[in-house]
Amino acid sequence: MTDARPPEPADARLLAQFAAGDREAARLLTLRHGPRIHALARRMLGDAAEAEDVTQETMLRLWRIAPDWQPGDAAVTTWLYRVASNLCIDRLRRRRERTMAVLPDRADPAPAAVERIAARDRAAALEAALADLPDRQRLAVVLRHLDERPNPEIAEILGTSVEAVESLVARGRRALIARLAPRAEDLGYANAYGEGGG
Amino acid sequence: MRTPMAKVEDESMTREDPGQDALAAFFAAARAEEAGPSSALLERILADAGAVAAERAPAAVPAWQAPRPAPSLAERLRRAFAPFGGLTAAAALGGFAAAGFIAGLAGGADAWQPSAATFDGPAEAIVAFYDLAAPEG
Repeated sequence: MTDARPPEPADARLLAQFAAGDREAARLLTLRHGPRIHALARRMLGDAAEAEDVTQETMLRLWRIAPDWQPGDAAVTTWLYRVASNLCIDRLRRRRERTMAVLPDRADPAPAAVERIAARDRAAALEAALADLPDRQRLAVVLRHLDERPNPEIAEILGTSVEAVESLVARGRRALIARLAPRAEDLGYANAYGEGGG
Repeated sequence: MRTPMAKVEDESMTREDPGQDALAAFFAAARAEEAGPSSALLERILADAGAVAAERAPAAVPAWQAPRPAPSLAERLRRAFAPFGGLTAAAALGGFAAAGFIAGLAGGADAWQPSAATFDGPAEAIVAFYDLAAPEG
């Protein structure tokens, strides 16, 4: 089975083409990376409008850096994830500062979702559990298990070592399991939580 | 699409902790529920790209700043004589000047000779001048 489609141009090449004035290159880069960045921001922030802002800002920074982009630099994907991650963490910090100043009590993030058994509820429950994780732990888990990036790339995005990423992801998983376990029965996963399996 | 590394890691996690199975199912549900970006967002991103590209492109010279072609000889003459009433007036002036010059020439040598009417001094004075000059010469 052969693929008749021509190979897609590399990101760095598209970026150089955009820097030379090729608008079509910008369109291809947007279609390729926009959804990924948006998904990351959505999972990190849990807010559609803020996720769109972060996606737009991240891509804007890419357009601006295009003329100075060096082929030997980090992969465009990694660079985008890094920028988006920093923007998300900045927003989370500002949000936390505002929340602590105005509303110290925290409500259950998705009580209705817990009561229903549907894939959407499971996703909502995971999102709520993710929101409880520390920022970098959450970012590591999202990149690893939802965006499925390899650990070395996550290390580059976070500016840390692979070992530190493994530790962050492991702790994040344990925390998620602990938070989701009480809801597992409602969400139809009771058996998977070790009934009889320890 | 799951990467091989993710599969291996998930399998090892499953062996260590049965709760990881449920967690993997939660992750799968979240991935399936992911809504893509709106077309409006993609349009805004592309609009940003266009704006950045336009900032970098050499600025187009406005019409009022564009260099104009050099004026023709007739145009330069027209501008030069504009303070004197324009080309028509200049031509008329030139014509009258030429006519005057020709008329002057047509008057003959007499026109260049001092006439009696133009020299009012007494003739004796001239004779006396020559008389005084003669002994010295």
